Amino acid sequence: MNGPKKAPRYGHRAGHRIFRWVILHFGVGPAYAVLVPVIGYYVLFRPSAVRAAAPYIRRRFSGRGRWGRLRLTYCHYYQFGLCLVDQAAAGLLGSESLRIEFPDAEVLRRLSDEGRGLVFITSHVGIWQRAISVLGFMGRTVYLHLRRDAASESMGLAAFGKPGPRIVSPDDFLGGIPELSSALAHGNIVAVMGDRGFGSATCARVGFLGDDAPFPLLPYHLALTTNSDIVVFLTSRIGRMRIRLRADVIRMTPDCRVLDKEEARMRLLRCYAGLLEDHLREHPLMWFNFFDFWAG
Amino acid sequence: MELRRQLKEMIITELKLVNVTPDDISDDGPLFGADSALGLDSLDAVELVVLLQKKFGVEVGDRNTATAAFASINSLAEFVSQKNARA
Repeated sequence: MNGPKKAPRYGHRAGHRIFRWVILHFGVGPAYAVLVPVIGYYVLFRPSAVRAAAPYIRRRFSGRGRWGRLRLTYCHYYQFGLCLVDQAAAGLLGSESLRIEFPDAEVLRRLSDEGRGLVFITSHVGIWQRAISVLGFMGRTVYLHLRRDAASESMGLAAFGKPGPRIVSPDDFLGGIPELSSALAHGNIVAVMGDRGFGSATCARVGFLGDDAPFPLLPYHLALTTNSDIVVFLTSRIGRMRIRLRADVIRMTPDCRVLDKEEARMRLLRCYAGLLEDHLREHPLMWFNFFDFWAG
Repeated sequence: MELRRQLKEMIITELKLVNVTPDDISDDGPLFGADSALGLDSLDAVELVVLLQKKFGVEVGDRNTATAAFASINSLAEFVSQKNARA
């Protein structure tokens, strides 16, 4: 089973430049205000945008009528816009302008001290790109599994500090997997998306928000094969230029090694899907996969 | 045992290939990709990297090395031989 299709992209370069200009000259508040009519335009006049959000809105907010779902679609895209504005502002005004609450930092620091490889599973929630930059504090090399153009466009790579992360592109030979495996075997950190595979990524379907959905198996296979612990890393925007990070650790215990590998992978995947569903129960408009995630 | 045969047997056993013998694996055919007769995927690549380290003590550290080494059984054997010769 292959990975889901790519999500559509919205906005254009001129629009992005306008937002950057507003942020630089007036701050984020006015940029948030500009979002109001922009999102309204997309929701009212771009049916493709409404269709793209519909599979999630319908499942997360079941039982709502047509106008209720339309209002929620607006709110969903508006939250997305707020995250994009904050992310852009952090890049323009300096990463210190974004306040990050990270109550699990000490847990991760102790985990890092054990020296074993760690698989960080990230997701398209909140301002996930900036959240990953926090991993620089762990003092180990971070390998990011994402396309190089996405990395340069949206990641706060400078916020990692020295030495920066290594980008391993899924377009590389075998999806960059040999490099990721080797990185983990040497006790480094590998950050992989858990809610969207790349290209022909091998996926499996598990229950998510009431229906089976395809999730990539790579993170779990990497962890099991290299005996690396997993950290499910989720973020949420909790206010103006404020995000909170949540890290749930899944240890590679002897029980995992006793199980058949396929069964072990599925258990880990169900665990991740459950954590993501919990997170979305608390932050229902914070997940930004605007396509039919359940198809595939 | 000759290195190529060792690698083939390792791939068959550890990657759990069914109804495949070492004689079925071509020395110069691709290991991965649409043209491969073995049907290995990227998850198998994870296993192979770890197996090479465990059983032969060699590391596939970067994409250029991986691209060259994983092209075929011949290239994999050459890679392992060269690494062990330097050690």
